[in-house]
Amino acid sequence: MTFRPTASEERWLALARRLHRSSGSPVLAEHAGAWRTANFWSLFALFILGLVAVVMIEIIGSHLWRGAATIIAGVVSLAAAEWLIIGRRHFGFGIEESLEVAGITMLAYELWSRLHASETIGFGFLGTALAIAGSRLLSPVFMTLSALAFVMALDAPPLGAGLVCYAIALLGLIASNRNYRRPSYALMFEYLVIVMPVAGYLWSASRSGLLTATDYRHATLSQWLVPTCSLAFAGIALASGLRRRTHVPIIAGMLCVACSAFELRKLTGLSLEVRLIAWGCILLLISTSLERYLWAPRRGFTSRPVREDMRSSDVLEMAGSALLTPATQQPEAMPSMEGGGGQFGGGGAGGQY
Amino acid sequence: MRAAGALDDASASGMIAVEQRTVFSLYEELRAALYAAVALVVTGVGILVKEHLDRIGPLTLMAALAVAGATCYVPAIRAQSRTTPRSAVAEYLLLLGALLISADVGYAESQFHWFGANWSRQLLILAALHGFTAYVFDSRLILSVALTSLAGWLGVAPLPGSIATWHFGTGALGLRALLCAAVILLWRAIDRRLNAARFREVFEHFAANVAFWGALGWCTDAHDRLIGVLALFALATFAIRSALRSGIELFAVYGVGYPALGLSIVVGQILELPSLSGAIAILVIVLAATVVLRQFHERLKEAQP
Repeated sequence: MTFRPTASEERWLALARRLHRSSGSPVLAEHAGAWRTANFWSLFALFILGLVAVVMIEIIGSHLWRGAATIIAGVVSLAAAEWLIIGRRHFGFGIEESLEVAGITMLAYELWSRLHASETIGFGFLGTALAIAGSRLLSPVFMTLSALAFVMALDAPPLGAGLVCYAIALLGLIASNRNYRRPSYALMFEYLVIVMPVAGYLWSASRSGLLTATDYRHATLSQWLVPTCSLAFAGIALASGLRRRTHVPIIAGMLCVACSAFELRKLTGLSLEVRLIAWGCILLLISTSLERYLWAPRRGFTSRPVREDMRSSDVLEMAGSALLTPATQQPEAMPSMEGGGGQFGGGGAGGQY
Repeated sequence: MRAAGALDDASASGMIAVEQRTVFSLYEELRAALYAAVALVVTGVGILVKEHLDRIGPLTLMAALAVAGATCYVPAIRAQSRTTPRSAVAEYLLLLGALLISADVGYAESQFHWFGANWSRQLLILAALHGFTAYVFDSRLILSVALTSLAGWLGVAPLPGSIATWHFGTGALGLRALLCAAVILLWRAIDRRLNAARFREVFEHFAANVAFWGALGWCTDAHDRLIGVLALFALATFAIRSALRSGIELFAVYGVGYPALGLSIVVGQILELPSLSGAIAILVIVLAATVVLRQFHERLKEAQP
């Protein structure tokens, strides 16, 4: 009986995914075992369907076995997930992931509620449940969520919790520098590198309210720690990413710069629209300069796509363009039109500039 | 894999170079930064137009937006005239230009009411303009802007707010969404004949999502439920056929996910969801959807090389 793919099988599955090849194709099948994986969109849809199924099992349980519904729903979900993994050899397929994580979390919740323990201990239970699910499924998402739950369980003040997040991110950055036999181990550390500094910023900034801009011209030293930590991590991550030639630290660095820019939004005293346009133009200038500088590769760095599939426009890009398109508002002076009023076009158009 | 003939030499050596990090591309990071830059500028311009109408004056604002928008087209025009591949910066500047022109036209209409009661015709003009530009520059991003403008003209709001409040939940708006999808598919048919179907995916993704949202809207309305469910199944047939033909799995996800959602909404309304029968019915729908999606996933994977 096989509980999960071997390290070698996992590497072949990762290769199949990267090459957009079927793991059942003759060349890959002999190396990847009979494990089945799904691509992003199917995985996402199956994960959601699995979650809905768990909720329905819980509702059914609440009608049939009052008082034990959560335990029964948890056990049923867990059993179904294990059957899919062991019996049907699903790995990274979506549905077994949602069933497994929901099942373990339900059991942890039930245990916590029966113990009448504090909320902090509850986060500890949640973190443990997510860590068990993450290590069983080799899922970087659940391992990262587990780390966040454990930080919540510390019940530290916002700045302290933020600093813990940065520390975890730094450890992740160091750990991700090693070569692992399983691609999923590397991914777990990489997810921590991306998520934890953003969580660290959000936690530390929540002390004064995220939507309330701090006036840094009259700020105390501890207040300055919020953007400084974010900027410091950005510097370390960017330097590390460029030195090691890996994307994840660079992405983490870019996110931290964005967090710092957001935090220091009141520093200039400029109006919101001027700041947005100015930041947009600065970003455009930097991107243009970088692209031109690296158009011809320099020391192996290039701004051109190195694989043909990088050039292809994907669904997210199309959706992104559609989202930015200004929807036009009906002019106020015009008589109002109701949606479906018979006029061809326009009755339903709405939105803002 | 190279030895087995499953990977050609060029692909294999390219992958080895990436793995060994002798070549490192910052292309994706640049694209993300450029998208963020465009989003910031467009949002800033939106607020500027809204907040400072009186201070700047309509003509100055219109002229400034037109000049800024036109300037953004320059790198793409230069790349086109030199017949060199367009860079990511030029691509995103083109998008920024199109969005600024859209904001400019919308602002002009709100100030001068050129179209009067038919004010939404500006969206049709924008759809035509951006559609033309998309073909000239062979840009999917601009085509997405054109299709969004077209949907706006047909009264299908693209903003998530309208989805959250179920503004689609009337028969007329559902019909408009389906009409919009039909127009997009007609455009796709013309594109197929004249443009070798280079934009096929863009048209199909837009048409599928707009049509499914329209049908879902019907499912939320007590009077149109039956039509909504029938429409969902008809659309699902098209989507799955498209998935099997093109090998694009996302269409299978549309074809299974949207009907499952629509049926769950209908069942949840009729059987009042917290009830036992409602939960059992939705569980059956979800399990059936999972099995069907898994089957299509396997079929599509088998069709891959």
